[in-house]
Amino acid sequence: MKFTCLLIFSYCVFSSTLATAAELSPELKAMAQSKEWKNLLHYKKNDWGVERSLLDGSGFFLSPKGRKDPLAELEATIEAMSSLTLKLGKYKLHPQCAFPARLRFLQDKMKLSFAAQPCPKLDEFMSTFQDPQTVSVVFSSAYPNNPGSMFGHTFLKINSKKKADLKDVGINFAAYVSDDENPFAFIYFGIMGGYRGQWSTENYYEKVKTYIQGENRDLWEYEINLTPDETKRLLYHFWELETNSHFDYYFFDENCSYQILAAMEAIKPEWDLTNHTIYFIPGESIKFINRNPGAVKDVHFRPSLQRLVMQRYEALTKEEKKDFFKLIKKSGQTSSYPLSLETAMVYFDFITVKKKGRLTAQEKASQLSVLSQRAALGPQPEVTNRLKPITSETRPELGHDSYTMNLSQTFRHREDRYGDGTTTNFKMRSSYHDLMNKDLGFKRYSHIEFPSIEFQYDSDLKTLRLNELAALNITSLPPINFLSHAPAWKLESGIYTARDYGCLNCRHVYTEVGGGAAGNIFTQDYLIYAMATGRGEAYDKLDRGYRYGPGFEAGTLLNPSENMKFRLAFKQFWDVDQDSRSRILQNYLFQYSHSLARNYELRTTINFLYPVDHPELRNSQGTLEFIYFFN
Amino acid sequence: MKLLAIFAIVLGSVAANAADTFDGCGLGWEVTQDKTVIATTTRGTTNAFVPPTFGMTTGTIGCDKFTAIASNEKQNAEYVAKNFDSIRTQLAVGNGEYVDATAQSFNCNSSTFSTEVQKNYNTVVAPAQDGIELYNNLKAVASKVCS
Repeated sequence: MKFTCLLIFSYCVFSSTLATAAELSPELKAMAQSKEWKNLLHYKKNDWGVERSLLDGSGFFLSPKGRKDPLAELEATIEAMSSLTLKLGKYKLHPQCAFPARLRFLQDKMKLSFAAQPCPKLDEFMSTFQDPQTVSVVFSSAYPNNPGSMFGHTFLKINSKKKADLKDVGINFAAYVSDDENPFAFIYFGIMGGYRGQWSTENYYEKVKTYIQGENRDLWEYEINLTPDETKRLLYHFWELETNSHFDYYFFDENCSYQILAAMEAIKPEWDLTNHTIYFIPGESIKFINRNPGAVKDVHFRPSLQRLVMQRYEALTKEEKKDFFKLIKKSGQTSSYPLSLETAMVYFDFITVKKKGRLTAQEKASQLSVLSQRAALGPQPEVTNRLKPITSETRPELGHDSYTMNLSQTFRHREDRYGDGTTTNFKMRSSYHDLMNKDLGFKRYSHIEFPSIEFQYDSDLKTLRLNELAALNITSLPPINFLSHAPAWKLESGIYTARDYGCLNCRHVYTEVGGGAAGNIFTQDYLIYAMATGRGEAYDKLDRGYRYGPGFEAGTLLNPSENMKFRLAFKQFWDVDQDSRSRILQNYLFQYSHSLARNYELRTTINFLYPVDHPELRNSQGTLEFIYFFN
Repeated sequence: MKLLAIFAIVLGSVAANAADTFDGCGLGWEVTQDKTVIATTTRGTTNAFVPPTFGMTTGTIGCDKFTAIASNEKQNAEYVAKNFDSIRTQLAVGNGEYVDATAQSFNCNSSTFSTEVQKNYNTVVAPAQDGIELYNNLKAVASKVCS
C-alpha cells in the first residue's frame, strides 16, 4: 500500500511538472534565452560566436546538453526542483539546496512554486555572513615582488548588518596551487589554465592583515549598490558555483576579477561588467564596475601599514623625530611627545609583521614600554589632527586605461652614410603602465609592459619596418627608506633596432636584467636610482651572431607636478666578446612627459648614442609622441 | 635559446619569492571538533565554504589556551588573538577600528570601554603574554564597565 502511494505521488509530481512546462512553452523559451538565465549558467560567446558556458567542472548542468542549450537546462532544472531522489554536488544536496539561485529565478521570474525542502548546509553557510546587506568589491594594489600579483587582486567583502567591518566575511577566488609548486610550472599553468579556481571564505580581518600588513598593499573597498535580497542571491550563486563545479583559472582573463564580476552579472543582468579585450586586469575591472552609473554606492580606503607609519613619521617635528629614533633603537627610553610614541608603536607593529613575530627581547621591551607610555598620556585628539590625509594615489579607477596607441615622429641625426632623416612611428601596447606615464592609480616608480609593438615608416627610404617589440618589460624602483630595503630591479626582453655600428635596419633580439637601489631625495617626488645590468643580444650579422656583457644604469625621475614627469638616464654597456666593433657603448636619455587628461599624454624623448671607441658612429634622435590610452 | 634561459631563470626566481609570509604554530593549524590542534596547510589550500576554521598568524594566540574558551566565544577570542598587535596599539591610543570591533564583541560602548582600558593599561593589556590572555583580561574589564 505504501508503495502504491509513493508511486502515485511521484507520478503526480512528474506529470504536473510536465504539464506546467508544456503550458509555459513560449514563455519558457523566452526565459531560457533571457540574459539573467544565461548569466546564471555563465554563458559567453567565444571568438567564433558560439555561445557556451565557461564552467569547466561537470555537475553544474542538470541536462547533458546544458553547457550549450539554455532551454534544455531550464527544463531539466524545473524538473529537478521537485525531484524526490536527486542528490547533487559536493555535499549531495537536494537540487533546491544545491541550486538556490536558480530556484529563486524560477520562483521570482517564472512564478513557479515547489514544495520547499530543508537546506541545513546552505543555511549554515548563509549564517556565517550574519544578515548580509551589501557586498564590496575590494581591490588590493599591485605587489610587484610577486608575478601573480603584479596587476593587483580583487576579492569580495560581504557587509553584514551589525558587525564591525573587520568582522565581516570575505570571499576570494583564487587558483588552487600547492605550497611547494615549482615556479616555472606556476607561470606556465597559471597562464594556460592548468590550475583549478576555487572560491573560499575568510574573515575580513585576515584579508586586511594579509594585504595591509603582510604585503603592504593598499585596499580600496567599492560598496556595490545591491539590495539585501540581491546580496543573498549572489551568495546563493557562489554556493552553486563552488559546491557543484569549478572554473579553470586563467591568470590573464578568467581570473579572480573576471569571475567575481561574472557572478555579479548573474544577479544584475542589466549591468555590463565583463566586456573586455584581451586581459582582465584587476584595476581595470574596477573601471568596468564604475562604467555602470549608480553601481558603486561608496568607496572606502585602507592604506597599507607602511603608509600609516610614514604618515606619522612625516608629521613629526625635528625634536619628535629624535625621540622616535631613540625609542625604537634603545630600550628604557622615554618621551613625552604623544606622536613620537604613536609613530614608534605603529613602527613596532610594522616590524613585528616583517620579522614574522620574532622580535628581539630588546624590541619587545621597547614596544611594551612605548605602549604603556602612550596609554599613560590619555586621550590626545590633537595628534590625529596633525596627520596629513593619505592621498588616493593608488585608487585604480582614477588611473589611465591600460592599452595604448602611440603616434610619434622621430628626427634622427647620424654622422654615418645614412645621415639625417625622419620617421613616423606607430606603437600599440596592451598593458599596463610605464615609468613616464602619470602614476595616479598605479604603483609609483614601476613599469610593466606586456607586450608592445612599434612600426616605423621611413619617409626618406619609403619603407615600413618593425622598430621595436617588447615581449616583457618590467622595472621596479621602490625607494629605500628606514622601513623598506626592497631592491630596484629590471627585466627586459624583446626586439630593438640597434644604431651603434652604422646599421639602419638591424633588429636584435635582446634580454637585459638589472639590480640595484633607488631612493628619494628631498621629497617623494624626486627619485634617483642605480643598477648593475647584464645584457645579451642575438643578431646574425654580429660577429658571432650574438654579443653580451655587463652594464650600468643610473638615472633620476622627477615628478615636480602631478601631470609632469622628467627622466634623465645614463646607460653603459661593455661588449666583452668581440673585436671589430665598439667595446663600450654609452646611451644618454632625456624624457619629458605631460599628461593632458586621464587618457592622453604627450611625450618628448631625446636619445644620444655614443660608441666610445668609434665616435664617428655617434648618433642622436629626438621623438615627439602622442599617446592615447583605452581599454 | 641562451636568452630564453636567462629570461626564464629571472622570472622563476621572482616567482620563488611569492610564497605566503605568515606562519606561527607550524604551518597554520585549526581546532577540530574534538578540540585537538592539528596541522593544516596554508591559505592556498584551505577548502572553500566549510564552516570557519580557527587559525593563527603571528605566534601570539596562545594555542594551548584556546581550547579552554567557551565555544560561543571562540569567534571573538580568535579575533582578539589574531589581531593582538593592532588591538594593543589602538588600545594605547584609546580609539580606532580594532578597538571598536573588540568593544562590539563584548556588547560594550566603544568609548566607555577604551577609556577604561587605557586608564588601566598596565594591569589589563601590558601583562598579557598572548592573545587569549588579552582576551580574558579585556573581557573582565568589559563585564565590569558594560553591563
